[in-house]
Amino acid sequence: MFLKYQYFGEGAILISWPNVIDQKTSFDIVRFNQKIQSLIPQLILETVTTYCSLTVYLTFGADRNRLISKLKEIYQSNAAHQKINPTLWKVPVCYDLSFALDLENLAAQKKLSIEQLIDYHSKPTYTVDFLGFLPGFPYLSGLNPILNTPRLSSPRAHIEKGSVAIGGKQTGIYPVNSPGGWHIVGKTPKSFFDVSKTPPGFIQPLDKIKFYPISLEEFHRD
Amino acid sequence: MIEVITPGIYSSIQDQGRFGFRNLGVPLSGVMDSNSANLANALLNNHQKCAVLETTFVGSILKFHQETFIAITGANCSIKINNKSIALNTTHKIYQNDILNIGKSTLGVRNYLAVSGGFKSDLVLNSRSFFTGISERQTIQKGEYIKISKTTAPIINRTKIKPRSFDSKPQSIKVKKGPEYDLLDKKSKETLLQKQFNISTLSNRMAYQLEPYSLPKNSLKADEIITSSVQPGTVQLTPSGNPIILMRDCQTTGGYARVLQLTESAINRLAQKRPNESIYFTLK
Repeated sequence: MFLKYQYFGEGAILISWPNVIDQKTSFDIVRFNQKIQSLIPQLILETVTTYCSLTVYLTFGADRNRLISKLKEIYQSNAAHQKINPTLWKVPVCYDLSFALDLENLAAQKKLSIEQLIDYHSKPTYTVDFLGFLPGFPYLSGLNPILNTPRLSSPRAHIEKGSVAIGGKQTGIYPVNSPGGWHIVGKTPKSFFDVSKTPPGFIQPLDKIKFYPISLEEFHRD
Repeated sequence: MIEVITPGIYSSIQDQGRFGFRNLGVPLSGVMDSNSANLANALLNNHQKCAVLETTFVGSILKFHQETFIAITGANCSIKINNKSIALNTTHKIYQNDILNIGKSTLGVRNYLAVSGGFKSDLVLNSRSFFTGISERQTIQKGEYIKISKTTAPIINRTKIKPRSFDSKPQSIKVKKGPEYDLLDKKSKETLLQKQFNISTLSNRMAYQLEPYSLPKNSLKADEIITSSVQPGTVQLTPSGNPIILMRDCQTTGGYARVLQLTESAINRLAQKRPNESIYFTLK
């Protein structure tokens, strides 16, 4: 694919793919990222991947010009890299109205019953596009278009850790307490981000997530 | 140990930042004005990685329960040890039970307190920097005890870092073109680089919001982008034309056009500009 290489401030190189959100691009980004990590770890501080971009943060004093040609070389090379084996995570979600602050509103807005809405939300297998916004927050694509909903016009000041929410064409899980503007449809008892663990989060870009509904009793038992 | 008598408005322990976890959405954090923080550490022969206390507008009152050396840098403000005024940008010996009072800043925003060997807040994901959801707290709390190093090595001051002076005049902020700069129309580029912007009161460790001075409609606009990475110093332009400058606690990704990128030294300068003071961008 044709990639664009740009300096991004004094210490980073931004690599951009054409503006298309699809699996092919995501795999290409993750594969390139793996090659960079394994071939030139000494030159990079860290990398960040998103839908159509890969940002390479450089170690202090690295020569950016030379690095761009090196990166182009790495992209073209067939260097051995690990196979990408996305993991499927089955995530319990309690859709009880005591957690699902926006479920009733959303159902009314979509002219669906609450059961139908839960069904639409828990049926698909979602893809983790990348992590961002909050520590460990997975952006999930694959939402049934019926459920696409613009974000709340004014964000809530406090959303509880574990809340499962819909924002725009995406769904996601709040891994830590935070303010937020997505519509809350449920809550998972599972922890997705724990600073005492290395690494603190286990979900990787391209992983799959399947939600399954649980009752309030099951939520508290978990 | 240091006992917090009064925390101040927003005082947090910071080091150079939490590197290596941005791919998980963990913000960098770290000192807002690294130039002043580095000076504070350098005055004590501390390693640059030592954590310092960063105060904002109104400093802390602290009681030391052990001997140490300290240095305070940053904004102009009055500082007292046991009610006796002391100077900024130099080292001071502290005895047990001494009370340090970091006052209100008059020019500039943030002060940095370094202690011999550094503050020993919990190391979380390789950094001692406070950040909501990562560290236990986001600011120091009244009555809490903060661990500091036991080092009391004599100080030989050899630093070449010079303290900056602060003023309230319009500040030139050095920038590079951001990833979406070239997509801006001519009018927006001119506005961005020729106008002065007022720093909004909605400015904190995450971002500085700017208010353009009475601009004609459509003189500054940019389309949203597909969410991509952002970093401290990224100048985002919202669809309604408000520039936002991301600072040390910013998110790792964002969906607004990234029109400019501040240099590291420009981030440090901006970190000491107060709300209602103004800035203008200078393309390097």
